[in-house]
Amino acid sequence: MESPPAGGWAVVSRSLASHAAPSSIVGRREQRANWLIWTASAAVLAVVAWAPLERWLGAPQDTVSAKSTAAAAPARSERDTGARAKDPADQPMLTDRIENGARVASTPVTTKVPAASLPIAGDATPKRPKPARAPASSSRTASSATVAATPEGLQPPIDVSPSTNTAVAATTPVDPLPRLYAESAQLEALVALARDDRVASASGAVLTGELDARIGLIDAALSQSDLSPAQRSALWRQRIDALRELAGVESTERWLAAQGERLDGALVRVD
Amino acid sequence: MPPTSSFAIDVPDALLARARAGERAAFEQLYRWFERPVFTLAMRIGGDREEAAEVLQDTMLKVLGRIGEFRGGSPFWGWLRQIAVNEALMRLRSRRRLGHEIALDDEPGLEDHAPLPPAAADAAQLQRALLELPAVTRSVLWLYHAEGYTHEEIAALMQRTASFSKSQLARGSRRLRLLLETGGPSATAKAANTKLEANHA
Repeated sequence: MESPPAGGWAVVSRSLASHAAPSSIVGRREQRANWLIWTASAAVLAVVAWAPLERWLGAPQDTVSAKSTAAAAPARSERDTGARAKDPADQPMLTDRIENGARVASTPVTTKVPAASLPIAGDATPKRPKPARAPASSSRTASSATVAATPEGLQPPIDVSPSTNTAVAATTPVDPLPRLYAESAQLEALVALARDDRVASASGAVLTGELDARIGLIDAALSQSDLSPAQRSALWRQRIDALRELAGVESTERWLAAQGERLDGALVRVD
Repeated sequence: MPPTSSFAIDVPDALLARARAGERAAFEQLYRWFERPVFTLAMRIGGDREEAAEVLQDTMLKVLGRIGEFRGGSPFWGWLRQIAVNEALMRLRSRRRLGHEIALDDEPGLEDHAPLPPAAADAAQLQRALLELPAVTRSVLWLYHAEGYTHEEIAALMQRTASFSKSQLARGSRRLRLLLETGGPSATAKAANTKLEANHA
């Protein structure tokens, strides 16, 4: 066979780049599907965040305690990007807890708390606020208030001037667990509403299966009785994160199904 | 036994899926696998390295750009080869060289099944001899012998009849054998070629 001149691929590659993505049907559909996924996920998260946000906006501002708990919420934005920096003191224990829980319990333990019955006033936090860090030294006490003021075990202590952030050393301890229970219950209800196996795709089934498994492990860890408040709060937050992702996937699948699309890319058609 | 085309490379479905998804690494792998068969085909049909390089680029750009249209009902290499053949023949047409073939005579049913002489085993000598043939004749020879196209398929590609393809094959084979047996282009063959091409110009 003849050998072509060198550099042919470079020419073709540049031509491909200059013509953007190849005009493949699958490429266009996947771009559209990605846009729909992001839009649907944003819509779902906005719905999920609206109720607590509304309560937070409408509640009397117990400035110190309310804003101190806002420090817990920012962790979520970092969780989403996977850039979470964990408290090294807690993280190995949490990992061990989850692993132990997986061995101890095979069925997830779900704690159901009536969503609307928990007092949120003074305790509610905006779900997706800008990070508002609490001074670590001032918020670290033995009580759960300190846990609320800092993202429990999920972020390293951040030394922030009290003048730029709102946490104050002497805060009234606030238990974040009821709020977490409520949020978790809301998300579970949303997942139950959004889930429809008739519109599930292969990719979606894999994603939801993995998220269900992750929630199961977290529930198993939560079933252990010797958890500290900080560990329990951290696990509940992880549960909420997983439920949010699950709600996003389930909602997106239903959205795509309504548009005649699927979460999977187009498959090869065989004539 | 039908000839084995140099294009007959089994492309895994996973690689095709990655290419359809627009993965650049998959594109490059397909390009590397098929660049020599495409270039060789373009050389055999066009006879010119620069043109063959252009045919290679045009072919691969079309293949990679339209890979989403490949539906998997036939081997991928067959689909790619068809694009390459079309590109090479289109270039011949654009340069008005598609009329350059060995003149037909009135001998019908001119099939030549005799094997090529041993000199054909010398790839370089074979290439030189092929280049001595008119472009169309060379194309018919290559498509038939090397790529396994039937006369009907060749006729469709060249917008001619199957009889034309058979005649070109017969005459081309005889001319090629003569070139190889004489150890190179004889003065007679050169003169004959020049006369034929001048007639069709």
